[in-house]
Amino acid sequence: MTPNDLEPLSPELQALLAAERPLTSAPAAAKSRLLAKLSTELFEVPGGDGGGSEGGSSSSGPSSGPGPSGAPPTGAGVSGAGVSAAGSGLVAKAVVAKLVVGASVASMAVGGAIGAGVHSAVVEERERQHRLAAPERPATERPPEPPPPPVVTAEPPPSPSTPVVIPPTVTAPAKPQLSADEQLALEKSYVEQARVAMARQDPNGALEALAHHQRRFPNGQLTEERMALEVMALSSAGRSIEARNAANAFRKRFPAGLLRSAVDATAPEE
Amino acid sequence: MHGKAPPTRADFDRLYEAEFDYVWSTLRRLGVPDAHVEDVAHDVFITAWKKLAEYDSSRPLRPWLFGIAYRFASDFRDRAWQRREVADAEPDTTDEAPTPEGHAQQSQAKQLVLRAMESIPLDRRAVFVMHELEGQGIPEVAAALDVPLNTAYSRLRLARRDFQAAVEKLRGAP
Repeated sequence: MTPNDLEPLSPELQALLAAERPLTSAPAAAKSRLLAKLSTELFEVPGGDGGGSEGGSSSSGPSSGPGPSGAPPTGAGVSGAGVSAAGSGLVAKAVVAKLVVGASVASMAVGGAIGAGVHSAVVEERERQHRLAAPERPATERPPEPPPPPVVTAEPPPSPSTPVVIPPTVTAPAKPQLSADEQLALEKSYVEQARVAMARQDPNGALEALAHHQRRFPNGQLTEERMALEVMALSSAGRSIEARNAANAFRKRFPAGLLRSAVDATAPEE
Repeated sequence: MHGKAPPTRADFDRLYEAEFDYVWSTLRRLGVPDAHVEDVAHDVFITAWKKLAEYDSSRPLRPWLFGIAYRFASDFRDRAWQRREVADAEPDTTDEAPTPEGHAQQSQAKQLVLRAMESIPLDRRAVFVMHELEGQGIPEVAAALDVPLNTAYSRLRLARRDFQAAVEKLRGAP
């Protein structure tokens, strides 16, 4: 077979193909959502000891097979950090993750955009706290104790008056094989997707990511952040009544929450 | 490895920004349904990042990316067929932006092309997309898909035949 054996396409078919030659612009929401997901998987190591660093192509990437992944990220570079989850390190990570996300949520409410400076400062704080909470050990040293149970039980049960702004359909808990470390990383990735969508003025994209979080982690460690972001996303989408209901649900569940002021600023208490 | 510096986060960001639409379009052209394009694109970028250090930067990037996208599209199709999810699948149109009236014909033509390509077996369609839509030479196509040159020419010939027949059928031609 050579080029001379090929019959050319007719001019009519050539003209038809010309219509498809320009690339289709992908949906912006999908682009930002996927970037957030990839950034989390490729460049963030839970615990803060590698977040945003360069390189790491061979060690931090997920060992994804050649198949499509219908499931949420299961933790590139997540499982490898599980060893350091002993003792108070895990609690520190949960608190710090809430701080990181919370600062972003709060900055969004105040300034309408990501507070890059605030975010950077909080990331540094995360790294510092992680070093304090989980000091480096020689590579050969085994952790002295198995990790404690996850700290997800500290929150009160969900209020029955929680508004139906996100379909509370399936309350499937996190997969049992996820460690608390992995669960927190996964929660962060959902909330981060929502935050990025909000920064791009895409409240519907944010609500979609938050719905994923609610289905997967109805009582997760970042529930407060999810509910606060939900208020802001609903408000940005012009769904003021739902935003007010969501704000009331937030205030009822987290009356002294870190993000209370941000929620109040978005949807004042009546 | 070629003794060059390992790729950085900035390299990834540039790759993603420059090629996201290309990967998205390529996966659709290779028959991945809209509802699954994001998931498959995820795997394409993960693999591209992991293999970026091996990529020969003196070569064009897109054929290299196409080769990765093709393998994932092929794998997706195999799995989808096993799940019987894409039998009688037609290209989705839900994410097409609303088109002004003046562009309606072009939009119809795009839909016709995508639907006609559905009838082309994937190995032929990959050659067809690279050559007819992206303008790649057949030697580059053969290299990207890792097939002999004659095979690539043969697949192109068959794909053109399939495409013409599908267009005629969709237009109701005898």
